[in-house]
Formats: sequence, structure tokens, C-alpha cells
Amino acid sequence: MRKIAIILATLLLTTTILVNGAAAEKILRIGIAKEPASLNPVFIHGVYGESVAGNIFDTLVSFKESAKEAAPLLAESWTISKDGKVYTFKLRKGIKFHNGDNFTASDVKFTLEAIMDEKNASPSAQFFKPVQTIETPDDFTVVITLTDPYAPFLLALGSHTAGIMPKAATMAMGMDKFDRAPIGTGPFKFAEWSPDDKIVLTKNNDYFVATPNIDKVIFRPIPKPETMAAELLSGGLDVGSELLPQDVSRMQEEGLSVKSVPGLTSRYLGFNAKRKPFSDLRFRQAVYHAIPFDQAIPGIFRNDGDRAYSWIPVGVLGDDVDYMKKHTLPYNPAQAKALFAELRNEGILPENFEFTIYSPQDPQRKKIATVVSTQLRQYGITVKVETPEWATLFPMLKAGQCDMYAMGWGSVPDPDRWTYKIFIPESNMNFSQYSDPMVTEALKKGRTISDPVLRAKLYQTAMRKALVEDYIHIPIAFLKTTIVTSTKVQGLDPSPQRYIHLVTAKRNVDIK
Amino acid sequence: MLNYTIRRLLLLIPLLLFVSLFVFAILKLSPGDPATALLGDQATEEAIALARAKYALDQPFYLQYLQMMVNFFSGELQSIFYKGNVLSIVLQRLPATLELGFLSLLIAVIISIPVGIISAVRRNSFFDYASMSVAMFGVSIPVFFTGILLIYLFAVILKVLPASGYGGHLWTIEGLRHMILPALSLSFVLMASTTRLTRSAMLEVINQDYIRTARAKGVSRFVVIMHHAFKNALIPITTNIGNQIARMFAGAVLTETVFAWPGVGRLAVNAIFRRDEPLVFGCVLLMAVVYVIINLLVDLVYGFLNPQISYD
Repeated sequence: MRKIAIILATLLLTTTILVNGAAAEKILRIGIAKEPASLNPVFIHGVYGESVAGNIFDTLVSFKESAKEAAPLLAESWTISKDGKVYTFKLRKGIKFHNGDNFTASDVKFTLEAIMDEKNASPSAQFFKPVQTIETPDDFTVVITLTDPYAPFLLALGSHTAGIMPKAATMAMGMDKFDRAPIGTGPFKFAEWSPDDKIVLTKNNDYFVATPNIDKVIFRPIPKPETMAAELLSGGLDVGSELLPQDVSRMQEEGLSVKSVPGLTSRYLGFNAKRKPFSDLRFRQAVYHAIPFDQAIPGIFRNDGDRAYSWIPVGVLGDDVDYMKKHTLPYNPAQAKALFAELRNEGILPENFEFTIYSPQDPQRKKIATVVSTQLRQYGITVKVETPEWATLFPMLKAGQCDMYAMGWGSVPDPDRWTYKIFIPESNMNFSQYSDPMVTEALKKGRTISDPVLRAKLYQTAMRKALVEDYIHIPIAFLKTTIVTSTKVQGLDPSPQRYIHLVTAKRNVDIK
Repeated sequence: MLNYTIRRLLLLIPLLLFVSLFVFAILKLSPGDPATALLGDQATEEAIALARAKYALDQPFYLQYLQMMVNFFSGELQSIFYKGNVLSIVLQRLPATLELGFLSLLIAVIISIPVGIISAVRRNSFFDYASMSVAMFGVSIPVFFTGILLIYLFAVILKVLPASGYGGHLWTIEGLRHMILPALSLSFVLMASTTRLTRSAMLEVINQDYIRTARAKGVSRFVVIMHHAFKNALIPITTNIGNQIARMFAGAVLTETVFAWPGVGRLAVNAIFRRDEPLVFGCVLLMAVVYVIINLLVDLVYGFLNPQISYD
């Protein structure tokens, strides 16, 4: 009898230890709307890959704390030559990759060259085009020389798509294999990728910035926002984002923590400058006057976005909010009517004019297109709304086949990234086929100078011309970034770019 | 029977040729291209051209088709998105889909056949009307809607089952807990049609002379229904279940998306959206093979159900 009692007691004790041991492991479960295409920095594009990779890899400089100012990370200091062409980085010593390899300058050179290598067809190669040479005078110094000064260069180096990879391990594995077994120096080590199910990261106890509080992170791709909401409400997830606005208010009522910040994603309407009557300034002005944007926008975006007046987001260099707001055309049906009548008289706008407005399939942009259609009907213009699947729509936009479209953009907080590709004639993202020598010149110059005052002036000039003189686009809204977390999660705030950074110099997310 | 089976399997060759040509044509006719999907919206034309060259998308169509067929049959087809072997990617997902399919089939059969039989035996009763109304509802309601309703009821309100995701194999407790809701939602369509079909097949048999004879001989009601009537009603029911299994693959596409289930259905849909041509090609061809094999199995089952059916 005593023996049995002893055995039972031992069993009970072991179970208690095991159970408590297991419960002590801190696991953070994060829902993401899409599975990343890759976790190899060379191939990454889009917020999902960057969110996961941002916790595995470190970059030379960091924009994790402030999206506007570069902070040291793998580089402890750097200098930029007076002509803005030579960047010299002093690297931090004693850092190890997750596989135990030492981090040195050769890894930096290898990573950047891999991004620029044509064979890899990296989506980020475009941001490293100005790079002429990368030299490593010693193990902890990297000198990068550019052909021309390029103001957003530090941003390119601080982007998650420039996460530093270990040269030897990557070469041994091959670029494609590294995709599914990434090794970095960041706060979390890659552990497992079960496609369409989960990506698991475990904590890097040797992380040089801070030892992560979380032991394990599970990223789960959940395509349906309704399912993501149910997971949050039922306690199946700790962190979720990209939820439907109606679900977000419910979460708040249920006591979950909802945090929002103004985001770096925009929505806008565009006209095709190469097609009649859209090519006529008066037609674009008339459309502007015909739609009550101040009423429509809150209805479409609820609490999810604020009205935009420029392409450059509020707070980013050259945003010029006051001027743009003042010069935005007001809702004025009489003026719209007069302009349409004038165009009809001149034969530019045919009687019973019909055209198609295109938008992607998301509800908000569909609604923007629908508002245009409903309003213009009152002026005798029939507008068909078409929302093709993205892979169908995108080539049409690039080929300049859409008369009018409701689209969006998202990028890092530098005015170059918000304007250059949209407005210069040779870009494939210039869906409006817009071409203005003054705007092009300002944008080309804007990326080559570093003086913020001069740069801001150039972007203001360009945006004033394109948006409140030519009215080639109608800026609609900047979306907010909202994350919902369970009350157990501590220290996690949304980032304007929708990244989920768990450990930075000032933040170490925890779960109670 | 062996001859029959071999003949049927040989028919797979022209069928696969036809399906492969058809899928390839649709892939090439639909707008968008894998390189753009892979590199993202902000990629330059230059990078897209490089990626097209890397994945041989700049070759003439007939060469691309031949290459895909050769790669498929030699097991060398590579997914552009996953950068891995298509066969191993599909096989990795297959268990999740098959387990889900099996459980929903089981739920459907266990519930719908007895309900169908009782409805037929108690024709025009309250039970009959009620079960047929529910079945009608099941046929009409879209899978994703029942899915979301089930999630809200069992995961959010009652908090007894997980809302989504794969918890492991069917035979583990966590696996089963995760599988109940998606299986239930997927089984609705099958359940509805099987209940209705069982009822009508049973009604047809029950009115036959030999049933009346059996009853007259004093055979018990239960034996008459289960042994004499139900056995003869099984052929149309089996055919229906066979067809419905194929439909379940289509249903799985929706169910797997709603329940964030890592199965073949979601793999195929994502592959289409990502324009991962080799993966779509591989998925559809493999599904075609599975479809043919299921139909063959159904045909072979007829022989066991009715020895009068001959295969020669």
C-alpha cells in the first residue's frame, strides 16, 4: 500500500513539474492574412514576409523604433561622404548567426550582392541599383560606393528585404533552399514552416539587443477575416490584424485590446491621361466637383482611414498638408454640371458617355468605384464598375488600359518611395500614363540630394503640380493600421507599415 | 474484373492528356503571370523579365507544355512559389484533406442513411417533413456560410472547439478536436443529398412486390427494411456517395479556406491566385487521377452489392 502511495505521489509530482514546465513556455500566436511567399530576404516582398523575417534577420541600420530615423543595429556607426556617394559602416563585433557562424563584413557584402545579382531576380534589386562597389577593408568595416547620391539608401539598407544572411551557410544551402530554412542574427530563430498552417520561431537566447521574453512565436496564415476574428474572440490567437471594421468594434466590446496608428497605406482615384475625355483637365476637375468626398469617405472607411489630400502621407517629408487641403476641389455640383456641359459643347465629352472604372476586389475600393458610378450618373455619364481578380487587373493597369481606377499604395516613410514610381513616365506603376517634365525633374532630383529642406521643396513642387494643378489623381484616404491583441499581450504596438516587431532596443513583447 | 480494372486504368492516359491540355490552355489564356505574382506589385519590368527567364516562362507555349508534362510524369515538376517538388508538396497536404474528407463522409453516412430510411418508412410523418426540410436547407446553404456559423457557435459562444487550423492527425485528440467543425460543415452538402436520395430509393423499393411478399411471409419489419429493402436501395446511394466524394474536393476548397486548413483544396486555390502554373497543373492532374480512381472503386463496389452486375 505504501509503495503504491509513493509511486502515485512521484507520478503526481512529475506530472505537476511537467505540466508547469510546459505552461511556463511563453507562446505568442499571431494571425496573418496571407502566407509569405518567401523568408529569404533576397526574395521577400510584401508585409507578411517582412513581418516574419523582421524577427529572424537584422539589418545594418534599423527603422524599427522610428520609421523616420535610422538607428544602429548590425552597424554600430556609419559615415556618409560629403557628396553623398560613399557610405562607410563600422560593424558590431561578437555577433553570431543562429547557426553559430560569426557575423562579419563578408556576410554584408554577400547579402547585398545577392540582392543585386540578376540571376536571383530580386524584387528589391531596384533599391540597390545606384550601388557601384561594396568593399570590405577589414572584417568589421563595409564601404559602399554609389554611382549617384541616393537619398533613400539608408531606408533600403534598413528594410527587412536587406536582412543579413550568413554567407557560408547560404552558399552551402543554395538560395532557394534558404527560402524555407532561413538563418539570421535576429531575436528569433526559424524552427518550422508547415505550409498554409504555421511558421514557428523560437527565441534566440544570445540576441545582442535583448533576450526575448517570448519563447516561441507561431505565425498562422488565416485568409478569412471572419475566422481571424473568431480565433481572437475564442482565445485561439493572441494577435490579429486586417480585421473587418465591424469585427473590430465587437472585439473592443469583448474586452480585447485594440490599438490603431495612422498607417502607410493609401487609397486614390486615378484618371488615364492618354485617353479622351480623361486627358482633358476640365473633365477631371468636373469629376472632382461631382463627388462629395467628405461625406463618402467616412462612410466607406468607418474608423479605418482618414481623408488624404496628397500622395505623401502626413508626417513624411514634404507632406505639404495645409496647402494641399486648401487647394483640393470642393463638392460643387453646379460647377461640375457647367464643366461637363462645356466639354459636351466642344465635342470632347460624347452625349450618353459610358466608361468603366476598375478596382481590385476589396470592399473599400469597390465602394469608392461605386460612389463614382452613382454620382456621375446624375450628370448623364454611365459608369460600369468592374472588379477583376488582381492578376487580371494589374497587367491592364500597367498597360494603361484603364480609363479610371480606384487603387492604393503602401511604402516606407520616404517621399521618393511615394512618388517616383507613380509619376515618372518610364515607370510601370504610372497607371495614369502621366508625364510632366517639371514633375519628372523634381522627382529625379529629389532622390539624389540629402538636404531635407531642399528635398521637401522638390516634392511639394511635384505634388502641387500633379495633384492640384493637373488633378491627375484624387487622393482618397490613408488607412490606419490596427492590431487586436488579447489582454495577456504586453508591449506590442502597431507599426505604420503593419510590421510586427517583437524585440527592439526599446521593446520586448511579453505575454502573461 | 481484373481486365475491367486494367481497361479503366488505361483510360486514364487519354483522360490525363485531355485534362492537361485543357488546364494548360486555361492557365495560358488567363491574364497575369507567375513572375509578377512571385515578385510582387512593385517589381520592375526588368526583374519580372529576369524571373520569366529563370522559370522558362519566355519559351514558346508548346515547349512549356511538353516540359510540364515531362516534368509531371518524371516527378520533377517544381512549384514556382514553394520552390519545391510539386508531388511532394501535394502529398504533404493530402493527409489533411483525406482525413477531413473521411471524417465528413463518416458523419454524413452515419446521420443521413438512417434518417433517409426512417423518412421513407414513416413517409409524410412529422419526422419526414422535418428531416427533408433540414436536408433542403443543407443543399441550399453555401459551405462557407455554415462554416462561419459553426465557428461562431462552437468556438466563440460555447468555446468548446477550436475555431480553425490543423491540430494533428485525425486519431489524436487535438487533431480530432480541430477536425470536427470543418468536417461537419463539409458533410452538410453530402448529408443533405444522401438523405434525400436514401429516402427516394427506399420508397421505390418498399413498394415492390417482393417486399410485400416478405412481409406476408411474416418476416419482421426490421429485417424486411434492412435486409430486403435497404440492400437493394444501396446502388443509387453508393453512386451518389461516389459522385459526392468528388464534389467534396470542390467543397474542401471553400471549407479549407474558411477553417485555415492546410489541405490540397486551399493549396490549389492559392496556387491559382499566385499563378503558380506548375503547381496548378500538378494539383488538377492529381485530382483528376483521384476522381477516376474513386469512380472506379464505386463501380467495383456495385459488383459486391449486386452479383448480377458483370464486368466482362
